[in-house]
Formats: sequence, C-alpha cells, structure tokens
Amino acid sequence: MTVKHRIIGTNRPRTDAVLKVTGRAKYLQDLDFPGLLDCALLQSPYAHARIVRIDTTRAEQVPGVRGVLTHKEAPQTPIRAHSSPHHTYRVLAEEVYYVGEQVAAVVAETKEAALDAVALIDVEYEELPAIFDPEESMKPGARLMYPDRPDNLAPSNFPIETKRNDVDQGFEQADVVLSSRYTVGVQAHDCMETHGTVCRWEGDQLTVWTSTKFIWTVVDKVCELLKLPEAKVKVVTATVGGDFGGKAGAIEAMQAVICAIFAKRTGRPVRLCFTREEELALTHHSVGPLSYHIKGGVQREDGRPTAVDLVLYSNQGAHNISGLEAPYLGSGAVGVYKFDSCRFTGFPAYCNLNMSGSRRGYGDPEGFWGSEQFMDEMAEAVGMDPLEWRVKWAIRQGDPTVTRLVWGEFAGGDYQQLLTRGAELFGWKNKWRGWRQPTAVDGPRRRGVGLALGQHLTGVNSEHAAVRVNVDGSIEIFSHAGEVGQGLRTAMPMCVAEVLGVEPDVIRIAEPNTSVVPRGFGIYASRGTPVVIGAAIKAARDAAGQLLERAAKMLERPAAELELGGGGVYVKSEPSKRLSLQQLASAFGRIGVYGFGFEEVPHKNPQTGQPLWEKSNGALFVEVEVDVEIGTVKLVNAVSTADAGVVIHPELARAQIDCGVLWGLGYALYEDEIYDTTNQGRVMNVQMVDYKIPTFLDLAESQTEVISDARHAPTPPMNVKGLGENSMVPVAPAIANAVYNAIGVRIKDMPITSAKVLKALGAV
Amino acid sequence: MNDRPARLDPDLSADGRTAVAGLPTAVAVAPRLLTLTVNGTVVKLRCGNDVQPWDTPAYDVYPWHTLAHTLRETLRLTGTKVACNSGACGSCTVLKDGKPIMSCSTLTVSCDGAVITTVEGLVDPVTGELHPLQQAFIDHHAAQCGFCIPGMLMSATALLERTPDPTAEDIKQGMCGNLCRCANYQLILKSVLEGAKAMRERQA
Repeated sequence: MTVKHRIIGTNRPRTDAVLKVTGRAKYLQDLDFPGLLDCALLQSPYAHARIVRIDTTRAEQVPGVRGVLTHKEAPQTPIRAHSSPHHTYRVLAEEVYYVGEQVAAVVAETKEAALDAVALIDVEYEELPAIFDPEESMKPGARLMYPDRPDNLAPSNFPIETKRNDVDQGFEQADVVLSSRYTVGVQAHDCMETHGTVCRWEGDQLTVWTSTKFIWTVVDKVCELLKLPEAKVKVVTATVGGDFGGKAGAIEAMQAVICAIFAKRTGRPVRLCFTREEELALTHHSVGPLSYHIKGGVQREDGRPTAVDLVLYSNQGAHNISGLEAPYLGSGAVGVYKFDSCRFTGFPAYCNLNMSGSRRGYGDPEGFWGSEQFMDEMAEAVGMDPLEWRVKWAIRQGDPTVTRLVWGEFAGGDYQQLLTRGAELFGWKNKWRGWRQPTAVDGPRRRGVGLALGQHLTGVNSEHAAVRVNVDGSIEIFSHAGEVGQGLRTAMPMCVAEVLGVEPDVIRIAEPNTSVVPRGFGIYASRGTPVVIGAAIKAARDAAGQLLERAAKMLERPAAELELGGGGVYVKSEPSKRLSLQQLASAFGRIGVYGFGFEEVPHKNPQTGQPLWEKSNGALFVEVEVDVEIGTVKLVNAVSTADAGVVIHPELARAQIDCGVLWGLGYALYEDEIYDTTNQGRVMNVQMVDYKIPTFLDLAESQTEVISDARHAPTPPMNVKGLGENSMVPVAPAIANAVYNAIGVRIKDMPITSAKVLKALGAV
Repeated sequence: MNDRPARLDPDLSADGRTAVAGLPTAVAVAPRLLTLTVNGTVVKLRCGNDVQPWDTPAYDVYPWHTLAHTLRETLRLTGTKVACNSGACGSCTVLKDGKPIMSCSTLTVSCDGAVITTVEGLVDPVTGELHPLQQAFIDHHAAQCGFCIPGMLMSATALLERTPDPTAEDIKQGMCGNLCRCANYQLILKSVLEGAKAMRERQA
C-alpha cells in the first residue's frame, strides 16, 4: 500500500530558517520590555538543610535592588510533576534537598546588582543528614528523605513491577544463566539557551513569556500556586533554543511564579534567566546515576532466550520533577526480544542530588546501555554472532511488548529488515571477526565493531488542533506545537497542505500562546509528529470535508465527484469546473471554514482490544578505534537504520538520527555530571568548559538510512511517527560492544573514559 | 546573563545610599566617549561609572560591560547570542577588525575604534540580499534550534576569509570552538562547504 504524496516526502527550507540565519529569530532573552527588571537566585550550599533564619537586610540595601523573596512569602503549594502523585518541589522552601536548590530570589535593575545582593543574604542553616546512593537509599533503616515516603521511593502512577510468564521456570529451562551489573551516568540537556521567563501584569491579567515546550503545564502550575483563574493567565513562548527534555514545565513554572510575584510588587516586567551554572546545578538531567542487575537465561541450541530478570535502582534526585522514571526504563530493557518470560522491578529512589527527569529518550538510553550489552553477553555465551542472534530473537509486529510497564502489541519497524539492511551498508560480514577479535590492529590502535537495537515509544496522550481557511484562501493552524528545533513547525504545514491541496507557503501557524491555541500536552515522548501533527491532519480533513460540502452545493455535484487540489476544489471528471479556496471560504456569509481535530494514542487493536504500542525503532552498527596506550575511544564509522513510517521531510528526518548518534556518543564516552559525594553531592562540572558536549571533531564517517513504510506506523493519520529520541538509544551500548571486541574487556560503567579503559586493561 | 564585574562604589550612587557591608567597590573612571563601527555604522557610546545604569541619564557603556552586553542590550542587536558567558561555546562570536572574537569575554572599553561585524551585518545593507553563507545555511538546514547559528556564521565568515576553499577537515578544525547542542554539525559543515563554493563562484 503506497499512497502517492505531493508534498510529504519533499525537502523544503525550514519555515524558521530565514529568521534563524539573520539573527532576527527572537529567543526569550531577545524580547524587549521597557523597564525590565532582572532576578537572581540564592542557591543552597548544602545537600540537605533547614533554614533556621534568613536575613535579607543587607541584600535590600544594595543599590538597584527592588525586592527580595524568601520561603516566608512564597506560595508553599508543591509544583506537581506532570504525572506523579507525590510532590515535593516548591518555588522556595524552608527545607532544601540538594546543592543548588533555590533558597531565595532578588529582583534588581540589573542582573549584576541582583547577583551582588544574593551574595549578601544572610542565612543560618541547620544541616541535616543526606543520602546520595540509590542502592543505599533502599536499604532497610536508611534515613528517610520525606516523612510521608516510608520507603524512600518516589512514587509513580504506574506499577513499579511487571512480569510476563514465570521467570523461575524460564531460568530452569535455560542452559546458561548469566548475570551482570551495569551503571549509568548523568547527562545534562545543556541547551544553548538556558531556561528563562518574563512576567508582566496588565491590570489583573498576567502574561508569562517562557522558553518551554509545555505552555499549558506552565499555565496550570502558575494558576494553582498563585490561585488565579486560567482565564487570567496567558503563557507565550518565544523561539526555543533547545530542549531535549529539559524544558518540561516545572522549572519554568518556578521561574514564572517568582517573576509574577515581583512583577506584581514592582508594577514592572520581571525576568529570570538562568546562568549556565544555575542551568547545570539546579535543573533536572537524565535519569541517574543508576545501577541495575540483569539476570538472563538462554538455550544453547538456537540461542533461545528463556528468561530475563532486571532490577533497577535509579536516583530520582530530590524531587519528582517529571514523573515516571524507572517504569520507562523497564519497557526498553525487557520488551525488545522474544523472552519466554521476563520480570522487571524498579526502585526510583529519592536522593539528595539534583533532579532526575526527562531527557531525549527518557529511560531507553539508560536501559539499553545495559540490556543491549547483556544481549551480546548472552549471544557470546552460546557462541552466536550478535547480528544473527538479534535477527532471530528480536520481536516482530504483533509480538508482546511493554511501555510504561503496560503490556501491549508491538507496532513498529521490522527489526529483521533494519538489521539486515544495516549489516549490508556497514559490511558486517567482512568486519566481524568473532568475539573479542579486533577488526584491525595498528600499533596501539585497535579497531572493533559492535551493534545494538534501539526503540522508543512514539506518542502518548491526546491533542487538539484547529485549522482555519481564511476568506482570502490562506490557512492558519492553531496548535500549541512548540518548535524546539526539531522542525515540527516545518512538517506540520506540509501535512496540512497535503490534505487541503495547497502549497505550504499559504499556511501560517499561530504562535504558541495559550489564549489563542487549543490545550495540549506538550512535545515529549516523540509525540510531536504522530499526535500533534496527527491532530492537525484531522483538523485539515475536517476542513476539507466542509469545503467539499460547500463546493458540492455551489457546483451542484455530489461531493464524491469532487477533489481538493491546486488551491481549490474541482470536478474530477471535468477539472476546469473548479472553485478556489477563497471562493469557498468567503461563500455563505464570509466567515471562513473551521476544521477541528482530536488525536489520542495509544490506539487499540480492534481485533484483540490490546494497546498497540507504536515504536520508533532502529539498528546501529559502529566501528570504534581504541588506543590502548592512552585509553581513548574514537567513533570511526556509524551506520544507522531507522524506521519512520511515512517520512514527511527526509533531510530533517535524517538529521534527527545523525544528531541523536552524536548525543549517544557524548553519553557513552564523556558526558557526565560529576558529583562530589564527599562534599554535599555538589555537581563539580557546572560550566560548559567542564561539562563537555560533542563538537565538530566528533563527526565520524556515517551513513543513515530511513526506512519509510506506512505499515510500520499503522494507525495514526498518515502513518507518521517521531524519530528524535530513538536515534540516541542504541548508540552507547553499540559503542561499548565495539570497544569490547576491540580490547577484549567489557566496560559496564558509563561513560567509557580513558581512565576506565586503561583500568580495564590493567594498565593503571 | 551572569556578568560579575567589579561593582560601582555604592558611595558614588546617586540614590544617596550608604556603603553596604560586604559589597566590593570599584574606582570611578573618567567619563569618555568610545567610537565603534558596528555593521558599517559609526556609533558613539558614552562610557563612565559615576551614575548608576538605572539613573537618567545613564551611560551607554559601563566599564564592566562586555561587547556582547553592549551589542545586545544597548544597541539592541540581539542576533549575537550568549550561551555560556565564559568563552567556552562560541555562540557570541563576532568579528572585530575582521577577526573572530568571543564578545562575551571582550570588554566594550577595549573596542574603542574597532570595526565590529555581527550576524545582522552579513545581509547586504542596500539590497537586503542574504550573504551566500546564510543562503547555504537555509538550503542545507543548518539551523535546528538555531541558537548557535549566528556564532557559526561569524566563525565561518572568518574561516573563509583565511581559507576560501576549505576541506571538511579545515572546517572541523576551524570551527570546533563553536558548539551546537542539537549536534547538527554534519549539515552545518555541508552548508559551509556549499557557501564557500557559492562565494568563490561569485568572485570568479
């Protein structure tokens, strides 16, 4: 089944390209507000402490200071994570739970004056005992973080344990039983644009400008904390300078409440933009540090995987800022292969470290780091090639798989096709020399190859969109869709144009402004393409139906004989008989045409009633070069295959994958927030010069093939799906597997630094 | 962002407040006029620190102002971006007398007499036509979130001035101080190669 598209599948300039290359795109810090005041935050120097006394006298005397805010005047309602029943995160609290947590805020005429004043706030802290290790936090008798959480567990809306069939029986049926422990580091989003917010009151109406992809979450939390009706609060985003899971609403809401209080007091617009140091110490990061224990059983004859049992301990950080944590990890690690039985147990533990949360891939890069290495361990144990084992045992369409620990049917790309095609492009047959056999040795430099599979859910929850055909024939889309760089606001008009038979350049998307656009859940879980664009496609179809109905009346022909195209509606058998969109939209009282769309996932299999877990998935083959004298690992070559359902914009799709590979590379080799647990668990690398991210020099030779097959995204309108997150999932384990084959030692502790390589080789 | 320069002596403040214990002080500088040429326009900026920035009339430039601050806040040329504010990421790159510099780590007072080019100065001032590099950045989708792009464009402009026909390796080495968190390096690289080609063709 191949549908021919006119616009979908073409490469056209991004709608934001001209603004972004001329410097005219307005990010939050670029907005001009006459009379703007700036804020700075005092951050906790302790991992856990109660504020006994706080004196702001000296700070208030600093020239230019216009106000100080402490927990005494700040609202004490906790800010809710978007999907968790336990809330501890406050705008400003009497008790602080990690180094970097906000203690007080100052507003001043300049940022410098505010920073000076912050340093002059006198605080007496009562230091309290702290806990840094999630496994320690779970031990009986461990100190409690919160009195109402007797187990130290950050609760989730989903069960913390799931299983399928009997694992004990599975292990009995295995010829080989293996177990391994893996640990995972912490990746910061480190967006080029830090979090920033501006608030301004006009009478009793509050406007919040903020850099977020969750405008409605910010509305909800600001209304709840400031006890305002939704109709009095408007949230608007400017251009967003990167997100990757970092701008998920809760931090922005904290900034907005502080700014709104100061703006009310001073009658002036107030801004709070984080410094790089605040960005890295205060805001959340990927889930971790974490550790997990995997036990697996496998049969010798054909490598049949009989059982897997995974126990995970993750650092939740001090607050449950974006929900779910461990349950996400479970799905990735146990849901990709046809295990006869499996069990997953997760312990998301509160610790006195900065917060864990959503980051590109949310849980899957963490989980696959260990599980995809462990699959290699199992294949090696039964003497099978890792490619051959995966082709044989990877799940297929309709097989059971799990998302958020809820079992359903797998709906996604064909792993056998992804693997076979990737192996062909990579030349796996020629490069693979067997386990622990380098593909090439040149002095101290050894090359090795490895592969891994990846997957991530694509789409959750529901979404509204509206499409208006204006009386001049131009079109406007109303969606809360935030452009964070991924190209959503380029892809969306392409899809709507496809449905309405127009060119994308006659379409405009309304700015993300909550007083204008419909409510939505935000851009996360790779849902932008399938759900948000999905709703817009449905809205366009609704509008298309109305246009055809109007045309049917005006042309006196049944709608079935008509078609949309060329900016109007025409009679299929007689194309010269046509009406333009302008004629149609301005007929019947000149009020245009409104279409509405609603999309909700997961869809259900109509036959079985089971949830259809639509996955974005792929395979990655890598070749690395390890220098055994100095311990460095370099990515030499990478081949990605990814399944995209129907590809809207091939070049932007490919970029999502190539860039995901670089994200995974940083995660595998050097990105890590380093905690000094001997000194309050403070993050030591809070500047860009210390927290390293990939650069031009990390670019490897690479090849990417996006497989476009509508059957692999079977249900959403137009069979589209998200790509941005899955791309980084297989990278770190594929690199680790290649390092293993290059040097003969498996590194299970992320990231793979030179020091760890040399230690593993016994060189230090 | 986090400008933390030496502060004004509070005794000098116009609002008559007395010194605050613990606040560092700075010596008053003699007021003077700075002359910069920014994107072809001569701008005269009054510099001093004997009145506060929020007083009227305030100075355009205070001794602790970085060039990035002056460009963005005083001249409202917000195309130049500040991401790390510590000279580690290249987002704030502008040209000073044709050479790429990090404007977040350059004091405005050190730019008296300098010729500054920012991303706003790449467009042809008469026709409004885009610079060939800008066009290549559009054609090859160099921007994702776009925050690093002005700095990338300025670094690339300087690189092509030195090396009009660069190899991929020249570009990687020449621009490795410009970070892109979207990691869109492959398409930026392609854009610079194609932009260079267009510029050579235009000169030929």
